[in-house]
Amino acid sequence: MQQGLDPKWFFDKVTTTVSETSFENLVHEHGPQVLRTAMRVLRDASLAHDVHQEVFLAIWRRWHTYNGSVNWPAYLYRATVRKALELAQHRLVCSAPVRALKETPNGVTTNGPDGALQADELQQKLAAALARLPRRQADAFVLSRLEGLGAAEVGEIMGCSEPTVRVHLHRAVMRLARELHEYLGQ
Amino acid sequence: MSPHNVTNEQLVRFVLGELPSDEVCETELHIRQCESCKEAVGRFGRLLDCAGRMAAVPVDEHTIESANREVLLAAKTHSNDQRRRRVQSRAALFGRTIMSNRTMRLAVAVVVALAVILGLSLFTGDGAGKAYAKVVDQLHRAHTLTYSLVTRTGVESMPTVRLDIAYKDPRYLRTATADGFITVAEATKTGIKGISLVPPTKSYVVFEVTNVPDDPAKDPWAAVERLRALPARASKVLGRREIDGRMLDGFNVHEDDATTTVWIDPKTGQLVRAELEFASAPGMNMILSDFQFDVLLDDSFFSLQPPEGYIPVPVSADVSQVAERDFIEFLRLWSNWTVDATFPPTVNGPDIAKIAVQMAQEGKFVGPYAPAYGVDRTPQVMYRGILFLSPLPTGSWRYAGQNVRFGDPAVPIFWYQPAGSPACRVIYADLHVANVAPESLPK
Repeated sequence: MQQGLDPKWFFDKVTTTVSETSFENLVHEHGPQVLRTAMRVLRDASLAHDVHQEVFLAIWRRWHTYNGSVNWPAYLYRATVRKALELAQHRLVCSAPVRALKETPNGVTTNGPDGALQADELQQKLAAALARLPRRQADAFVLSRLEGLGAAEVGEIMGCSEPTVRVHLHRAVMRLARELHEYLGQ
Repeated sequence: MSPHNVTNEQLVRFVLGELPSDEVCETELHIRQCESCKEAVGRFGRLLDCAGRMAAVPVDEHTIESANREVLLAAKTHSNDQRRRRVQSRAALFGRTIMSNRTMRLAVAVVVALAVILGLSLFTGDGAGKAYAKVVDQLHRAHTLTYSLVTRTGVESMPTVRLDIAYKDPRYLRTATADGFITVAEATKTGIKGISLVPPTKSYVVFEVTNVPDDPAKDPWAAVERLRALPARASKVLGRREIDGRMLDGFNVHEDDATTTVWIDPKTGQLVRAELEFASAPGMNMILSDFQFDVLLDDSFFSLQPPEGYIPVPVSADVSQVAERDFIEFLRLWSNWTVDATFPPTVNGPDIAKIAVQMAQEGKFVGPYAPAYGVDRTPQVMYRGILFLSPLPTGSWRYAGQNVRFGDPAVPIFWYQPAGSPACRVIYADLHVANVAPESLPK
């Protein structure tokens, strides 16, 4: 399980209803997870802040339209991933190209003295490639690999079965590896 | 297994650890023999490693609190008729929030001015730094001193404030937060004059305080040297630890209700870091670090000129005319002004400036001014009240009103020992005052 996610917290909140939860409570309870998810995708505090605000303000603008059956954790995960990937793709427009990464004898992925920088750029490329995936593949990859959720939890969020989650994840990995072929090296 | 019998999906499942055990060995064997599958597995692995690094990005609690506060403020300020307006940036939003109310702007600016004056308690007059430097050879040639001060109030939802502080002998002081709350003060023959910038309101406060008593103990050079000499009185030796990449020796001292921990560089003997905690203010702490002497600071760094476009809010007062009743009135006003009738989170230094602005943003005040005092009296009462603290000697007073609501006659929120008096004066949460022997003061 990745840092910052408590499964009990997650499943406890699945049944939370609008009638029981004020908007302020929603922000306090789920804001940390929204910010962490955005940070994992974007690795930029300022952009993550923007995602956090846009996700919650979008909810606030339609607050009166929600009924009591909203699965807030699932909704917020999906909205956060979507918004973060939008920003990731947009950010890539101005980013510098990266060279292919090589694996050293000790297993560390690098391509020279600026290996850390290249690794960071690869993360940007990965985030942007995620944004180009079909939505459900992107959701499956982010929730599984960045959020560290198990297939059952991801299935709860995506509204599908565990085998379907795995299929989306496998396809996401294959497509991402294909798209990032030149950056991942031989 | 021939190369043609292994699909990419199987390789992905292999890398993800999803293959049944009876297929794992077979797939491993194949990968060893097939160069293209070996490369594919390498790419899948590097891809997942990259995702793993993205997952490990930390987010601190302060960032989370800050983001939550901002979104709640943004939601609050977006009434129905503004819903379609796109939020372009947080900064623009906050600017609109406060600038839309002129009275609030004035009130917040005055709060900042008051806080500035409190911050001047370390800055007490022409030449004090020089006088102390004559005693301490090591500092004799030091004409500037800079350090950072991080204060955590211990009050829920109030921010941790970092101030970068600079002194230039003999008469300049500058404090600045990362987001532009800057105060510059200059000692005059009769007191202190200065300017304080309030970025969210694009206003500035010009202040002048007269009859400020000189207190050598408040001299910043003396304060730093006292901390540096603390190990001689240490009640506990903490040993050597690595802090921010440096090996430092730690010493712990308990004095009254304050616990001070200093970290000294064993090679140079210089003070590197000091941490202060207070028994009567649980959760509050102050950390001083990044001490530097004789950094080149041009006089323009201490300019009293406001940025273009800022709006002035002038204030002035005679410290000698301020008394205890003024401070009590200030506490009464603040508790009248806050939504939950609590007293100020802190009365300590310019921290209160940022905190007051944030409280206004968060709607923690019932309105633009204290209802019982009105728009005209609010600034004046606050100004006089908070000035009361300025001349009190270092260590002669203590504030414990954070998180305390007005009304309980048994809860002390402030005490001090008037000059020449054997007894201490204690102010309680219902704002009555009693004389208390020093040994009976709250712990």
